[in-house]
Amino acid sequence: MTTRTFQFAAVLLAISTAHPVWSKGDPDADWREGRLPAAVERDQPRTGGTLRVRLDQEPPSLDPMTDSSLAITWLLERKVLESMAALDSSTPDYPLKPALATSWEISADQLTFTFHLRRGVVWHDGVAFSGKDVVATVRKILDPSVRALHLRNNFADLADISTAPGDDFTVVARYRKPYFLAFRFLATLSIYPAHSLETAGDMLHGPLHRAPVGTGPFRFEEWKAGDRISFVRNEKYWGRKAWLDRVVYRVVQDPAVGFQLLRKGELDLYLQLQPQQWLRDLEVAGLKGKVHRIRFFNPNYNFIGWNEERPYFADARVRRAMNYAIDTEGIRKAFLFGLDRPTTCHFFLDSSACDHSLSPRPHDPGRAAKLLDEAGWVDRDGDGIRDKDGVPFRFTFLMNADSVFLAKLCPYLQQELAKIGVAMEIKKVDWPLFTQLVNEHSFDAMSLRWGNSDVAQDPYETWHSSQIKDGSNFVSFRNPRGDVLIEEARTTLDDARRNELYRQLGRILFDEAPYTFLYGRPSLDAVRVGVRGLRPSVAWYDLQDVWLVPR
Amino acid sequence: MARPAVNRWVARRLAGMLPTLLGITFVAFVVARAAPGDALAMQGDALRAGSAIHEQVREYRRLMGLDDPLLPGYLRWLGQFLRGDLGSSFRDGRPVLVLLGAALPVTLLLSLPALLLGYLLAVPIGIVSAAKPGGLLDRVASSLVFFLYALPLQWVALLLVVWSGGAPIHGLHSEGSSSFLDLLAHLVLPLICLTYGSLAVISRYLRSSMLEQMSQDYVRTARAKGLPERAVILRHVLPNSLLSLITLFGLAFPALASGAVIVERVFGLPGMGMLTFDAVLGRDVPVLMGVVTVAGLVTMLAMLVSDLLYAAADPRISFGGPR
Repeated sequence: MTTRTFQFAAVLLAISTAHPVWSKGDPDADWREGRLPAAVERDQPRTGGTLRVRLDQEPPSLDPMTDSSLAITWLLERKVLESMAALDSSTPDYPLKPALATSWEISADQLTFTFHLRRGVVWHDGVAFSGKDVVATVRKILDPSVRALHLRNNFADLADISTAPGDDFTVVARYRKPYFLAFRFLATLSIYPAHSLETAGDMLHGPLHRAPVGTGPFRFEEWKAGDRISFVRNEKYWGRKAWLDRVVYRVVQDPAVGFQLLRKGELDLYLQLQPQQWLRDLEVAGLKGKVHRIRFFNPNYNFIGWNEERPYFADARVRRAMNYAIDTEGIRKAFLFGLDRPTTCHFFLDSSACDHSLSPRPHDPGRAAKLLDEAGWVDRDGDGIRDKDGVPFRFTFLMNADSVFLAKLCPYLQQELAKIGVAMEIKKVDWPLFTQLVNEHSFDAMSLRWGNSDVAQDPYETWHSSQIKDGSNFVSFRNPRGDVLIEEARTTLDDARRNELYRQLGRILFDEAPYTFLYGRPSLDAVRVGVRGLRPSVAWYDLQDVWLVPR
Repeated sequence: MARPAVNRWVARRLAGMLPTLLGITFVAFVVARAAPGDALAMQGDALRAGSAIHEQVREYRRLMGLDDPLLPGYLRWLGQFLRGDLGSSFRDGRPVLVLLGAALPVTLLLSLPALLLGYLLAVPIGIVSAAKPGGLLDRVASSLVFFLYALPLQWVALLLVVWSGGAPIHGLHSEGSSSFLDLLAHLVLPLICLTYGSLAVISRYLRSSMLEQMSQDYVRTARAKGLPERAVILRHVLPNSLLSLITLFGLAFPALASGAVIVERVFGLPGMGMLTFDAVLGRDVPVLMGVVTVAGLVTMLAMLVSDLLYAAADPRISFGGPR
């Protein structure tokens, strides 16, 4: 297979391997940076105990085939459901390592993948695993009655998948054209048991939707709706068995209540703390020394998108002016406590798909005003608002009413932009309406976050001009050179070459400024000190390795 | 009153509910469908789409009936409803009846004791207040109940969570326990939240209604014939003031089944409030229709029951039939 050559900055390395250099001489460094101290990994793992994890939202199902929510991925992948290959989070470039497949071959033309599957694996219900399960899973995804939108697109170019004649433990997949993600999509697909898929119908109304059956180290136990979801150790696991007896996810919506449960020792792993809770409240509550703070970055970023179809933002100079007018550094410090990190890149910031020489434009209202003048936006009628061709620069910022961050950001933007003669109005709508308006391109400017569960991703849907209609190119970004780069990258299987193409694309995006990149958001978690073997990665935590020190 | 008359009256009332229920559900259906955005927006990848996906989204919209014109769409829902099928949730595919069946008991577990507790505490407060209007006790009690009434629920709930000490603050049961005592312990804080605000309403209602009765001739007569004040109030004034509490009961009853979003959310109790709230946010039309139907039915039954109670409490009210 192709080797992934994503290069990561030291940040992630430091998180995944707990850099000893940093912790020397400064006992608080780990706490401050949100790293797990290296010392906690020294003891011998032991079997037993229940890990209690806080979830802030109940997932709609336990079925990654029909629901793409990240929480489901976290709960299930490599814990309950397994794929033929798994992301290897022990090294920061996330290559693939064997899981349900022991080895694989990729043909020279990159169109045929052959997987050799592990023998002796049994499903949680006792039935033996084979290549038929892999084939049935892919066929189910291709079944138009199954709401597997997010996955089906990944297999659009699949010509055929089947087990080898007379060998149920070899799976051969053939593709119509080469695509750099095709192998990874198939290799990391969560496999379902064929015998249960037969009766699963459209998945949504079948038993697997809420009670998964997998091959992973944990077996689904119970889902008490609105309360908790629990998993127990799979005693028949093919690999090293998990240390934990059980994992219980408790649905605790209110962050203050969750925090209180953490204080009372009723939770071991608290996911997604608010920045203020993570930074200040843990310490105020006397939890320093009782919990470790964890901060790590996933591939995601927040941005403001400027709709290029609107007269205000058609000119790149205006969009650059917006960048200069907005103090992104100040915003991060004031509203996000500086925990987030600046970015100008569409890809995972630590990967070499990003050009790290592109730093965010500094806050410079003077320069913003000059750019607006150049673009012809001048206050001709003396009302304090710039205008051009009789159109005053008065635009509307569409915001999702649930966002705490935007509720702070929007009034600030309004005030800053007024200083350079730009009037901004705020339109708050709830999420369903927000997505509808964004999909219809009915906005002047809006803010959103893109996130990905893997470091490898394709910018095609977001930036290719063909994706303006029906795709995710909501801001109508159009750049012929960009299109060429994106297309070329899709069939470039050499990672170094493809990353070079992406860095070129990144420079175009920087100059054209269709987005104002705001920040990359970290996951802010807290874990009880007695929990060992926890290693954050883009694939969340690998609970198979987690064990508990007896209380 | 004659029993057949009551039966006829009840039957007439029940029959009269049908058009009302049709009206309620139709309006609910129109409103749910008219809300901008739809259930597919809540799918994780609503904004991550290629052209192929958009094609499929349109197909799903069709399958979910979101493209049907309003009237045929409603008639289809009604047809299902008459066959006892409320459809299944857009969000997770579970039957609406199952969702209601899970949420309603949780809500009743909270609302029935809260209602009972509210009356148990508020009626004595009302009596004490009315016995000596303007007196020290009246002023203290009034100030107290109004003070409580003014406290914002979310704030009180979180304060209780922080001050909970050893009391459980989340869910209905502790891990691995299913004892009645454990359940009771989990209900303490939510019940406080659900009760304190209603004290003012009930006690003030009772107080004003008792004061009105006290100026009546029969009270003067009772006092004139030398009855002790205690007997005057408890045996004469109080029973005659209960009508207002029945009115109030009829008004409070529908809330029993509609749940309390804030309390449910804070204390992790998945009742009707959260179900409704999530269904609204997720544009989950089948679930919304389900909760509206339940709420409509309960409200109409509450009106029926409180009318029957009126008749039982007040001999002057009849059912219009021959006596």
